[in-house]
Amino acid sequence: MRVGLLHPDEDLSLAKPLPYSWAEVEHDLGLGTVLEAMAEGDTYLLDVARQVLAQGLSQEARVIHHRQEVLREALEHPRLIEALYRLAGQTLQEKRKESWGLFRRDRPDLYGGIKAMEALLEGLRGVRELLESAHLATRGFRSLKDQLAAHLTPEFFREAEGHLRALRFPQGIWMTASLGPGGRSRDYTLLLPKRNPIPWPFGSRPKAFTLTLHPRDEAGARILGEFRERGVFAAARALALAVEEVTRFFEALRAEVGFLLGAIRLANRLRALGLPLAFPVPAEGVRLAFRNLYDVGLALRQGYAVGNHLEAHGKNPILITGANRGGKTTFLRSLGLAQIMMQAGLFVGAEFFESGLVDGLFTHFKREEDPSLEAGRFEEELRRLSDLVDHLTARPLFLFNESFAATSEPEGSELGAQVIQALVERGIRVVFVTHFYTLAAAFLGNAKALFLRAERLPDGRRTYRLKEAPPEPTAYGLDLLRRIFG
Amino acid sequence: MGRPSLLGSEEEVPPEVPPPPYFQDLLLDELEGLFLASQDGFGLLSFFRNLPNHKTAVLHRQAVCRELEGKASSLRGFLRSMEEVRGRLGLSQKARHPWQKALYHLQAARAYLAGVGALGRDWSLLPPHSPGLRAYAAHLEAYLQSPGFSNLRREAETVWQDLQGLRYVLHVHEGRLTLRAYQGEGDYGRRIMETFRPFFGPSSPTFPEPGMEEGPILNHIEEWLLDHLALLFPGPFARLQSFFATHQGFLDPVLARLEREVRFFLAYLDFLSPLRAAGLPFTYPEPADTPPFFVEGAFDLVLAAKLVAEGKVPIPNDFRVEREHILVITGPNQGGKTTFARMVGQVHHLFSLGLPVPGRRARLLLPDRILSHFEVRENPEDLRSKLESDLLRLRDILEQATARSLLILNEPLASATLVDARMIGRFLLEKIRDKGSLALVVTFLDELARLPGTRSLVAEVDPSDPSRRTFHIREKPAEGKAYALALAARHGLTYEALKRRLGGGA
Repeated sequence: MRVGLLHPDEDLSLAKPLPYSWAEVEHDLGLGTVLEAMAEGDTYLLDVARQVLAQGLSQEARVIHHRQEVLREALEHPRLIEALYRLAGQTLQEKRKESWGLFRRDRPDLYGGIKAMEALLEGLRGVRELLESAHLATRGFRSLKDQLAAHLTPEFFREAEGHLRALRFPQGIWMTASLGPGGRSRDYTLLLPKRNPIPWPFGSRPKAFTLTLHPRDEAGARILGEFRERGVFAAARALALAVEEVTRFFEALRAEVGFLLGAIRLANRLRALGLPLAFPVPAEGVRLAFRNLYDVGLALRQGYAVGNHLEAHGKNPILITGANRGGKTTFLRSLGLAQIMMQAGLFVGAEFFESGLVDGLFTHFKREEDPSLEAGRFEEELRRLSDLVDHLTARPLFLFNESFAATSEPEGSELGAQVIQALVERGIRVVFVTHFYTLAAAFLGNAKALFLRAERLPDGRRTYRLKEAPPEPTAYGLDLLRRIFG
Repeated sequence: MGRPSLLGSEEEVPPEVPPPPYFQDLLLDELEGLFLASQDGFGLLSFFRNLPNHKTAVLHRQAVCRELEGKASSLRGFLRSMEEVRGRLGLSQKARHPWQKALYHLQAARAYLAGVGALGRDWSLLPPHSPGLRAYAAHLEAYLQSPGFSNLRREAETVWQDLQGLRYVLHVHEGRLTLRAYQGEGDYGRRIMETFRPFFGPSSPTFPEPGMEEGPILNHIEEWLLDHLALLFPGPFARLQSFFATHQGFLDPVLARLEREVRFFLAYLDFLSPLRAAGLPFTYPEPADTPPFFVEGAFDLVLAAKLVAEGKVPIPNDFRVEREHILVITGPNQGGKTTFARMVGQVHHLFSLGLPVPGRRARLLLPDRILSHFEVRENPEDLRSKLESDLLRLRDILEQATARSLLILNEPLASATLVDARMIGRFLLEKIRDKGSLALVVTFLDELARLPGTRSLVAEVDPSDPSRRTFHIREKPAEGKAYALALAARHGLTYEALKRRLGGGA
């Protein structure tokens, strides 16, 4: 049975490893704020949100569409989503309590399995009722509802509860076995516990031998106990597997509705700030266009945000220059966040957003907290970059923020230009923020390159908007000086 | 040669002997431990300790070993099967219960059939070409077609087919165990799975059987069960009984010998493989009766194994003998002199066994014996008695030595005073020269390297920093002590250094 809310053909797994250098991406893009807004202090939800966003980097467009559809409907049923999330959590807790966590594959505990399954059956009933109570139209919710209706029939519950009774084996255990290579039995298979042996149609009954233990034969009693264990093992194993599977279903359900719940919370926060939200358009190849794209993290932190517009289809690399503190980093973050949120099937912070799907996202940001040693810093930068290059995926998006600033402009520019050129030729989308005029200017003759500049009004004030403009060989440090020293 | 053999020697198995006297000096005792440690119980140490001493055997073994380097996968499979056979026969020995004895014996026979069968198939597709292995292949082919073998195969298979096809029902309830034949009842575990099938993916999950106790001793319930299975299914068990009675000694002794011999070569080649992977060269020396004798790019194998394990490689060195039969090595302590001496000894021993030796290229004398004398650094004791015992050892060595012997003497005069050492040293070298033996002498006496009939080798130091040793041993005249002062300074033992350490004053 599959939950299928976030993905048309597989359940969410929280066990996948995060992409290489995900921690850096999270830090550089300020993604933590977004995750916290979704989780509202629930550490489990924080984990789910992080996993889903990270796994988005390997998603196809059809999955994104499926998820957008489900999320739109979830936004209309916030109470149902919350109730499902709570029920899944409670059921899992109940199951854990009942089985004492004593669930080992090598020696499944039959009694624990029985108790755990009882708790799970209770939870299944609850899920079914909740889903029946709402009118749901999207494919994801419909198929979950239909599956539950098809499988969780009264007969299913009757049969399952019958097993839980039979597995207490009031009449002892019947099992078949065959002879193993060393004279012991193997391939134990549990047989249906029965009161009456099968009628034998061929006259005399087949031979049977019975060993009755001497009452004081304690060793023998222990060994028979082991035989019993062997036979029960098959049943306990079957039950344990069923418990595992149903548990897995609840875990997936909890994770998937948890993500939807997080998305509802995030939407509520942004709407309360009066900011626009849009379901983005996932495209193929080098496509990028947006209207009023803002940095969701910054908006959550400071309560407002400035948006940007752009149409940059077919453009690569994108080079961003301009005034210090003019919104370059914020723009880079808004772009990275939107890409990640889009690929995870979420809405994005914009009125419109379209971008080509990527299979990885890499960030190489200037580190503020670097040791003061210039030489060491540059070396650290190079080590970090080389490490990322070792782990590049096939068609990622690579965001650079003031890379190579730790060295001089001529050298940093030469190196930067060589890096960008190499990445772009390999088909990697590059967005590069730099205050080196020389670096950006190196691409002036390149028809595919797009230049953005942090805007500055004639009086020196900043709008925090970027406009399409070539790099200017001017230092803006003077502005700062002027503003700070009047 | 009538009987198949990979060793090319007439005797069935080399005799069990203690390690030869030179083993400890050359670290060959350590080496045999290193590569034969995992091969206990096959008597392979005697393969390593007995030198065949004739060229045909060396060439015969070199051919076998070369071939085993190329492709040994089928023989490795054969060795694995034989291990299994012996393991199961061991269990059959240990088991107390007669049915269990018979069952383990049957499993041993099945492992044996599979092993020799597979080897026969592999060899018929890709026949070996070295004479040693070819003779075994011919033997195996004939053996596999013999009626005895066919009977063994047919019986083992049918007996086991019957036994493992038996299905029976056990009922356990309140201190009673009931056994009867299986009548097709349904699998209840599967029923449970069916109920919960909607939760499983498209494929049902599988799970490993729990680890079963596989000791050779059955408890009384298991014995009861086995006895009563024999009553329940008398036919298959009668056939098992007769198989056990008829096929007690099913192992072919010639193939058992093949196994032992192959083990020896493969153990050595496996020991070399990480060294080869680290880029170290190995070569099959060409046997020669007259100089030049040489090895290019050789190294101490025991040291190399240690270094490679630490991710390093040894410094290679050359060894060459032309007119002069005596090589005299001088140079700084810790400069690699002892290692070089060991290397030369090891290379000759391994070559005499027909094994590949460390180095790029080699042409060597097949020595009639290897004689060594290494200074033993014992606790300070009466030097006179130490010198005496040293001289007694040297006399023994010289008495045994012939023109075809290899002598390796490492600081043989360390216990003598300088004056004595000069005198005894000259005398020793003259004796060796008269014998015409091949000799390598490590000494602190430069002048010995200037005697007629000797060739001088020097453990080098880095010219730019005399205190750095390169572990290169080069052919050049023994020189003064250019490195000695640098060494002394490094240890704070020059005049100025001592003045500083002891404080100005006076």
